[in-house]
Amino acid sequence: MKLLTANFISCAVKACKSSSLSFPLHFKDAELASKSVPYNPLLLSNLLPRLDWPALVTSSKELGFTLPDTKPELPRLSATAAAAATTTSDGDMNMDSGVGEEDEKTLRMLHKVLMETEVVEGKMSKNNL
Amino acid sequence: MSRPEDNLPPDLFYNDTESRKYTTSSRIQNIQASMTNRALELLGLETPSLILDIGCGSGLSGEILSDGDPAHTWIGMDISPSMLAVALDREVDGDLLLGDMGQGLPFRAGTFDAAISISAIQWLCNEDEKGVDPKTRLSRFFDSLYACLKRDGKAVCQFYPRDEKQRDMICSAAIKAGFGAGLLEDDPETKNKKLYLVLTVGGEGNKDITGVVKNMDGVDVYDNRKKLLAKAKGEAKHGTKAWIMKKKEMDRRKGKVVKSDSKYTGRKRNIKF
Repeated sequence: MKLLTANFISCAVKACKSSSLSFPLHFKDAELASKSVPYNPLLLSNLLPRLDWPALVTSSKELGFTLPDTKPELPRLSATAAAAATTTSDGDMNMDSGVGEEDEKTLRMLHKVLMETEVVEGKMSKNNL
Repeated sequence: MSRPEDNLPPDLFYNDTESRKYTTSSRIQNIQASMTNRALELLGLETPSLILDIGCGSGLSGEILSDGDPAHTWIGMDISPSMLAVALDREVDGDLLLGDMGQGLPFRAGTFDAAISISAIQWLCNEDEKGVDPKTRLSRFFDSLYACLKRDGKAVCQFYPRDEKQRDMICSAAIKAGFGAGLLEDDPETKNKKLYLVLTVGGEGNKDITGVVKNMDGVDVYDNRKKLLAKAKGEAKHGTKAWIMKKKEMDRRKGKVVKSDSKYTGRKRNIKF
């Protein structure tokens, strides 16, 4: 399961849907793997506003890596700028597209954490019990 | 053709052999592919999006989501462990969840850009055990689907209802959950007819459900809402004179003793009375 998915899942039991414990779920005995996924800055910039950053920081801490405490701010990418960004990153790493160097770095970091890190095996539970 | 829905609950029907048969059959692969493409066309997504695939099975529909242009990221959910095992074997791109959609979807509010479901939601109408109420399961499903889609989001569910009653039950459950809903029928009046339930969630661009098919060729729009509105208008409103007259007429036909009509019938009493 991608970390991205973990950030969206909450407890499905009807009685606990409204309680604050139903989200985020915590990993236990997780086994990690890295899988290469095509880099897609447009998708990431679309998803960023919807991420629950504190939850993401918590779950990544449980899996053993650290993220900045505050949500990185990114300008919303337009389709053309993103297309330019992907083409340049495929070939030479020219940063003269719509994405600045700093933003590109955050996007790459997000891509690595959200899309490429997978939990292959493990348990999810709420409330860290 | 026999309906698998009539034989067994979905998690038992799609066992290891049945799942493998389903996934390797080229006929089913073709049908699933064409239905998924049609659903994508209805969703009309221009940017890479996060999509929920309800009843993803072995990931036949999901493959098309990740291979398309733009490539979407998807999360699949299914009730049959065997089907999901086949999906894992095939190494599909999306994340897979084992769960029963009739119990609600386990996602935060506003998670997905869109949702698709290919040949799945008719299973919700099954009454496999005692005490299982299809209506409750349908409303649980549509309520949670409505919650986990973002504003302006869309969902397309292709399904095979057993009869008109089942079709109407599913549609009214969707409308009750708050969706703007429309039915698209491909190849009507033939053996291969396919029903797509198109659902929209609020937002500026989604004010009218018919807007979804506005730019598509070969689609005739039948707007049932106008007829319903006209019908509601024609009916006498509770408490009006027309309504009282109707009631009196009804009682008269039943043979009850009813006061005769006069110019005072249904009039308000004077305040000093």
